[in-house]
Amino acid sequence: MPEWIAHPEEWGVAALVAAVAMIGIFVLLRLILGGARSLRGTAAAALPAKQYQRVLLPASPETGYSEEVVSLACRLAGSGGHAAAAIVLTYVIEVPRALAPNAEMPEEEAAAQRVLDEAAASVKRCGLQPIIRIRKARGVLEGTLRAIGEEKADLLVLMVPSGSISPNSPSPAASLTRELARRAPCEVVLARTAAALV
Amino acid sequence: MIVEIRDEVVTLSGTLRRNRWATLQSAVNVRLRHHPAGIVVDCGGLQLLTPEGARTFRDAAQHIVAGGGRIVLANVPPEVMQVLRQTPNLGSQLPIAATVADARASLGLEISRPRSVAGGGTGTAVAAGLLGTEADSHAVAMACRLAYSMQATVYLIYLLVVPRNKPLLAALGDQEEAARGALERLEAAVRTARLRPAPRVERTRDPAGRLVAVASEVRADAITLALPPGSSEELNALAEAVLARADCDVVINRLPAPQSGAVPAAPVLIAGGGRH
Repeated sequence: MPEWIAHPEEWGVAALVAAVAMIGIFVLLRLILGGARSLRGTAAAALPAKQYQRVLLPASPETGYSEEVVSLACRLAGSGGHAAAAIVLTYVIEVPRALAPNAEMPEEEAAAQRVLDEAAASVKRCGLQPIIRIRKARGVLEGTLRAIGEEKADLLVLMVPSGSISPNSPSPAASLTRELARRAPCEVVLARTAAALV
Repeated sequence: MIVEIRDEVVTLSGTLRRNRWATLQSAVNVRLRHHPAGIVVDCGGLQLLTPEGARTFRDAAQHIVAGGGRIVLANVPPEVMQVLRQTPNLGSQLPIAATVADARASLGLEISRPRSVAGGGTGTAVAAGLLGTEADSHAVAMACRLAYSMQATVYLIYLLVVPRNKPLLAALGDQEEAARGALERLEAAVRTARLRPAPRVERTRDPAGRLVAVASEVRADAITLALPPGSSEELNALAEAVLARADCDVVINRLPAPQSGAVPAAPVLIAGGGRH
């Protein structure tokens, strides 16, 4: 039996020594476990930030916009603690070669405005501010590629058109999407929603 | 023939030339104990079926139905379907569903519905397909971005492709080590993003099919994949197959070449979203 047990006047000192010892063990354990955690932390891969400045959503008479593509673009543009990206909605009107490049095309421009206004309303519902642009070009592909450069877009969001698209018999919309994905000089997100399956 | 069994889904791939019911019976019995409603046979990977091989399904159906369960075939390739139809007392009696999800719904295991995050859904899982390229971290980053608002689990599915000249369970040495290492790092990264990771290595000969199957199994609302700049035709074909076969949203992230303005060497292929 330890000698101090027989001396009640020393019990306080013993309790103090025990408390200090327990605190020491506790601090030591925290240091060891904390160190292990930080070691594991250094093994974590640094995920790409995926912070974009300008997200471009192109539309044309062939493709238009879907609620899903706007929703996806909003998620990708969303802040995540940083400044949210601008969402640029652009609609390319194809101008026939018989007309001047900047010829007025009131019907097409009105249709484009309707499509863009609708998409812009969806973007605003996500809490983001859209930028809308109507462009004219000889071809939708070249017009969209030019828009990527001029708008300084760092992300192009494309929706795979619904329906079966065989590389051997692609629809015009599918061909356009494929070419854009292939030639865009920026990062591309190509999406197909489950809704397209129904 | 290669057989993979997960839960109530039996996946067959390769060739089925002879009646293999005797080989499958004990495994199927175990599955039926856990899933008395029946089993789904995913035939998507079957490359050849002979009339003799088709008797496997006849014997399986007789056995399972006698026990009060059901057998439903899914993803049946056209050439396999032709053999089934030509087999007496089989083609007209075997229930066949377009997809595994439909087959499970038919067994009353789930309601078949397209799963989606793009529509602002309230999903619970996002699956990142990892292909062993430098772009994998982008697939995970994209998955985290989609998962964050709904606090979904991020499944990290590393597709370990086993060459056809080796058994499916063959040791792959460096590749397995690389898979483990990548998964550990990415798992930690997902935790750092305050999301719940679920890493798994999938050994397969059909990476697109396996990814789609696992995503369906875990009820993922979206699959993410990332293609490095100038990705190979093989990777593009994989992305195309996932786009065509998945029954949830698919998001493919194509990374730009380091030099802005450079045109990637290989095209990104696009496939339709028709159900099989």
